[in-house]
Amino acid sequence: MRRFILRRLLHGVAVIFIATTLSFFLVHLAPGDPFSSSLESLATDPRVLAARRAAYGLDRPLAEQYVRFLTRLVTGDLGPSILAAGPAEDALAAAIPNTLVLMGTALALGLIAGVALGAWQAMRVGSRADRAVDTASLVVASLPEFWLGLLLLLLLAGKFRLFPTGGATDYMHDLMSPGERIVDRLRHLALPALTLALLSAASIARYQRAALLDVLPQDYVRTARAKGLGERQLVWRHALRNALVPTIVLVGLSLPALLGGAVFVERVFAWPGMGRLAADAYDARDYPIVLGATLVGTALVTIGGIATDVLHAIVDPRVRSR
Amino acid sequence: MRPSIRLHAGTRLLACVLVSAAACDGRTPAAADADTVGGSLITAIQAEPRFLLPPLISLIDEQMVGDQIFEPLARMGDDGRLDRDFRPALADSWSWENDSTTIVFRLNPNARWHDGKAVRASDVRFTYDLCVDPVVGWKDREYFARIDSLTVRDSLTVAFWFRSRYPEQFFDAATRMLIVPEHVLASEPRATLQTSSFNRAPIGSGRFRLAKWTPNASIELVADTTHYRGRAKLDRVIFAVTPDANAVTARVASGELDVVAVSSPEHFRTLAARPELKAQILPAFDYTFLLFNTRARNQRSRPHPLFSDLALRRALTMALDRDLLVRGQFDSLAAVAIGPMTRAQALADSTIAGIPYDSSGAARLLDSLGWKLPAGKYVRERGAKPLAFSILVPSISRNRMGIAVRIQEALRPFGVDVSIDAIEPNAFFAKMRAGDFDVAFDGRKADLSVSGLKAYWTVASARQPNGQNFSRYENPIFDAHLDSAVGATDAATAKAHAKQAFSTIIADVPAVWVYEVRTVQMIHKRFRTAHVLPTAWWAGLADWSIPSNERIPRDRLGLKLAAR
Repeated sequence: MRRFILRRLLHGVAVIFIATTLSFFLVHLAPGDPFSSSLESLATDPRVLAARRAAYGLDRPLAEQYVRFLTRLVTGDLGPSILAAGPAEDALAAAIPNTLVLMGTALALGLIAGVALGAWQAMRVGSRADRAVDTASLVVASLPEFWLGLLLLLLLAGKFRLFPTGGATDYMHDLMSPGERIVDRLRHLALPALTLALLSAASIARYQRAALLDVLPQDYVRTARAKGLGERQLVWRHALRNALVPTIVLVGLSLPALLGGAVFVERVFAWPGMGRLAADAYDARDYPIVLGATLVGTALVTIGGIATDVLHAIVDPRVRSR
Repeated sequence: MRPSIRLHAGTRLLACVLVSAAACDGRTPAAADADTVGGSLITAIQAEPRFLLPPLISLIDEQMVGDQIFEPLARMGDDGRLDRDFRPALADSWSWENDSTTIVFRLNPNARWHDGKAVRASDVRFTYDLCVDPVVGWKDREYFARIDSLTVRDSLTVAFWFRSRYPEQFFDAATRMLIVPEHVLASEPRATLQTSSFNRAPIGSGRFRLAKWTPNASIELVADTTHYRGRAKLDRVIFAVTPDANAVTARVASGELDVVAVSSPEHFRTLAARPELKAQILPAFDYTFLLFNTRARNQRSRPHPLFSDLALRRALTMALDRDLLVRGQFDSLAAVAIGPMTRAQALADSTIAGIPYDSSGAARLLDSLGWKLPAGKYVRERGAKPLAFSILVPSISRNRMGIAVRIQEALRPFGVDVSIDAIEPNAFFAKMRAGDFDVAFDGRKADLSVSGLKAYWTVASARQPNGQNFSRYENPIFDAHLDSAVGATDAATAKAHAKQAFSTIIADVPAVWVYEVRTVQMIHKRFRTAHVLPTAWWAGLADWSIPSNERIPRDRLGLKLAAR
């Protein structure tokens, strides 16, 4: 098992390196640079722009910039941010926890709801309720994140005022009691997390239902049923564990989509996370933040993938020997 | 000249009577103070400011925050006039010398920076030096071209020396610069001011000071209670970073935001239905246009194969029913643009005849130019070359994207093949700078003064390497009239020359003038507004107030957050 994890870790490091390298060259090859990204920059004396580029080392050959970027990266230094007027790692450090909280909550909610819904459907397969939920989950899974987010925002926050419309905390947050602060954070987290969770849950439910339908006709399930085990016990205690394998893989595979979705959801709900920061940084061609966010995003996805593989290996020992 | 705050004897007497009457109405001064002082205002900004150091400020969001923290020498009057009615700010008084080529400002001796140090005349000179230093890259540096120098006479007196007289010289000297502290910034290298920590921890002399900056979320300013002009009436102003326009509308509708500027009909309709909000229509200062590139793409020495032809530019303008286009996109929130100006500018002239919509005339003109529609084809041709071009559009502008599609549809029946090249802003600016476009859907924010037009439409700006005359339109007659309008010493002469300049450029058709968009300010009714300038609704926030009986819970926080 240890060897298996080590192999996956090495593979992960290679993936992060390749993704970061690709991002470095792609973002530098995109039109414009940090000092030509606004209308005002068009009016600035080209000599001034050249001096600013030189101050950030952007006048050097791309290969040299890349080597310098890697050298700095080893020490945890991404370089000065152009957008946030400070070290890029500081800007990212402030945003990453918010994204992790959002993604973690959405993933947990999506997983629980998706597995439960898929199992519930599998128990009444072919029924009207099953077909209705199947159609609904297909519709929800097909929705773009920003559209679903806007819908929830306008309905639950705008019309019914059940939740705040944006931000991570209320303006009076610092004056609240500890208990009120927790409630305040949860209320602000609710809608963005619900948006991402609904999308995850819809996909997971469909996979879970299909996986259970594969498992339920198997011999050991039939045996358990013949022994007189109730249908609910049969599904939840026996069949579900084996049917979880494809769901675990799906969760691992859905991490990039979840991270991508967080970019849109953070924008709609003004959630101060890494996705929004990265999108703004890309618009401003703030290379250090873009590359930092790519690095962190790739690392998150890679670690999630490794965790999935490990879980998969625990559930299915055959994987370890491959 | 002394500012208007110096009261005549009669006025002083009246003021005494009113003060006495107020003192006799049974309320103590503290109670009266509590009635006008307090409350919070929360508004949205689309993006987190990158810079709050005034010479680096270039975005509206940055300006909104910067204008609360820093002060100019004087502020514009509520009518937004460029030649009179200025209000004192850092300068208490001013006078004109040397046949009006020198303006001497005397600073308020009680003015202090937020760190407690006194504001001195040397700070004004330091700011001026920063602003005119090309290394700093101040966006308005061009406006200071007619200021010769600045001298400090004593610690509180500073003199601006002009090369010549012109009507807007006081406006330029007194209002364009937000003064910054020399003692904080003198040691900062100018080439790297963009990375200065000052941008995140600014020290100004305004009636609000920075209290809390939550990255990517909000910026909170609180009243400077010891301010030399009296503390701001509001306790705090919060700028909430809200990038999505739909989310902004939802936040206003739910009461989380108090003030927002709206420029789309659907958002306006949503918010206009809220009984707790009031609408305030601001004059339009943003205008857009389809800019024709008169030089070949990427080859400025050669004329553009299509748009070097004035008659073709004219025919395309005639083919567009701009009124229909603008109403379709904006309803009544925008009007058809009348030229490189907006109707709100003092020297604008809406009586100048533009090119009218004339579909049959457009078709005839295209025919006469040799652009014929071959049988069985849908695109006009001349010498086997199709009448086809692309419109460069910044994809982030929903309005411009919407209208570009309508233009594409509108020109199709005329046998004109238009493709839309929607690209993100960086690529848009890069292509504009390189001249790599046929037609660009560009937009500008008009200045109160028409002198800003020099940067976009003159011969000089077409030939400078960093000029912003991207169409390379050149007409010395336009330049001459514009110069005369800007330099005229009386309003009538300025207006006459401006009219000639605008008539010239409209007849030359370097662009199709598309729309000028009005902004509607949706404000919670509990606010009593003050000094809402046509170009900056936020300019007088320090004088906005909320009557005590209309305050909501967040208005009653006092200054607690600032003290934590």
